[in-house]
Amino acid sequence: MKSADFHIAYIQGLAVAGPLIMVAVAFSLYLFLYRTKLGVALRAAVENEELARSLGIDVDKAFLIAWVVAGLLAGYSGALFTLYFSVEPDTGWMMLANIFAASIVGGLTSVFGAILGAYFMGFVEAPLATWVASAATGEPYLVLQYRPLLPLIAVALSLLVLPRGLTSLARWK
Amino acid sequence: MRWISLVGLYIYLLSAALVALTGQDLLSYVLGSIVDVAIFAIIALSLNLEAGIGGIPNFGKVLTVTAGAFVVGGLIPRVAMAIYGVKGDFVYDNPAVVSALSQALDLWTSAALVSAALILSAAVGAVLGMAMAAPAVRLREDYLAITLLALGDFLFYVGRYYEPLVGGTLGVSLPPLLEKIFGGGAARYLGASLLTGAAALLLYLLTERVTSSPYGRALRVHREDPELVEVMGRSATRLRLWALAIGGALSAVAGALYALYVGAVFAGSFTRITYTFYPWLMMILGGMGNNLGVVNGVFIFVTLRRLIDIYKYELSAVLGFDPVWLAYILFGAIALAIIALRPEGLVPEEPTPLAKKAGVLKSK
Repeated sequence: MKSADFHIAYIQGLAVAGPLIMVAVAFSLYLFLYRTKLGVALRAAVENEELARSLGIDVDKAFLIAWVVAGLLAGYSGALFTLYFSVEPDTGWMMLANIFAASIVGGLTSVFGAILGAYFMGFVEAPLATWVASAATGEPYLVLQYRPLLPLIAVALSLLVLPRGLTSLARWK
Repeated sequence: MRWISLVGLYIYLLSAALVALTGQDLLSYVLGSIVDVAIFAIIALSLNLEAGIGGIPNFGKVLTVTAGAFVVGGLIPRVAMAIYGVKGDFVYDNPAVVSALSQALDLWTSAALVSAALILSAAVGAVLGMAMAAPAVRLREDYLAITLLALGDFLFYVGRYYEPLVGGTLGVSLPPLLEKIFGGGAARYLGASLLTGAAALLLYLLTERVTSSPYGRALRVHREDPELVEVMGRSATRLRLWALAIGGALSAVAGALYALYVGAVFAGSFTRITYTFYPWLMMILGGMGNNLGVVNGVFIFVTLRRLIDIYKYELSAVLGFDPVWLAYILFGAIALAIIALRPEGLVPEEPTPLAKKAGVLKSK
């Protein structure tokens, strides 16, 4: 599907459009969750379901909407993904650990934590791992084949050291 | 006992009748499905102890199953090589070493090696079960679930890329341990199904004992409300770790039995879907929290899977696509249907009999 993409002076269109779309999605998600009644109700329902119910929030409806939004975004990202990689029926399975690692490292409770975590994990997994492996050993590919283990280790380390994720650092003051 | 308590067995017997009537090989169907049922029953029972009774969302069941198989594939043959002084590298000279070992092995050494494999894998499984939960065992349950899910694939990748362990992407063949004990040919399969069936029955009785013990009751309280356990003076963290250790040991034994039965270990076959999600499906289908129900779920699952396997040519003629995908679609649909229509499972957990024993219900 790569050929379906457009190019701006040899830069793949996705490399430009992807981050822009991400910023737009994150911003609208932020507006939805923090500035609309429904979003606030949803966050209340996650925080304490019973309490939210007693305040008259339709928790089931809130969760339904959360699933709709989540499915919409995940499906949309899958559509963008085909411009970049070939996709098989189990592509999602294979990415599951990476997705969890990104959300946990970034912080599960924040929209921007997910973005921070995703860029951080992407940076750790691809350039940093390659650089460390080539600096440490003569044959980087022998070490680099263990790359799928990195997100797993990241989850464990992050939960031990910083269980609320990178975004919690900002709230320490 | 209500009829539904054995629904899985009835479905299985019906399927056996179907297999016999359509002229397929009944003996191989029964022996093969006994092994499948036994191995998945052990895994699902261990999962039920953790998730159904203890309320610990273990989405990393595959890790301890893999550990058991790797003990059989990576360690036991090397022990055998040391006993008989066989030269060479087990992974890189695999066929030569296996044939040398198959000439050297005798009945009692094989039996000792198989028993050692089962005990060692239980120990390794217990340690790994605890270790994988360590980063998140004190945190909220959703963090624990994510950690277990992520770490579940650890050994899968290590086994796949680290060739000296179990041969990487090529896998290793095992020396013929079961053949030396039970004899070759059909006797091996009879023996293997007896061994795994007996192990499953024994472990079923064991888990039944554990769940009805005071520890099992504490686990049930933990499932309902972890803080309540703390109030009662027991550490929720320790309860969780023990449940994961017992569950890890049980499922590692299942992995070891599977490896012994297949006679080879191939790291790529220990996938999340087969050893984490299918056991979850069996447990939910049968009835979370009820050991007998879980075994029923296992029977139904194995029956469906083997029937699809046996009739794949007939099915593919009707379906027009590969029946392998039918299994995925069918099991996904079953999972959705059972959660939507009967979330407590086919054989639901029964209320604790304590009140009945004390005569509280009758006296009033």
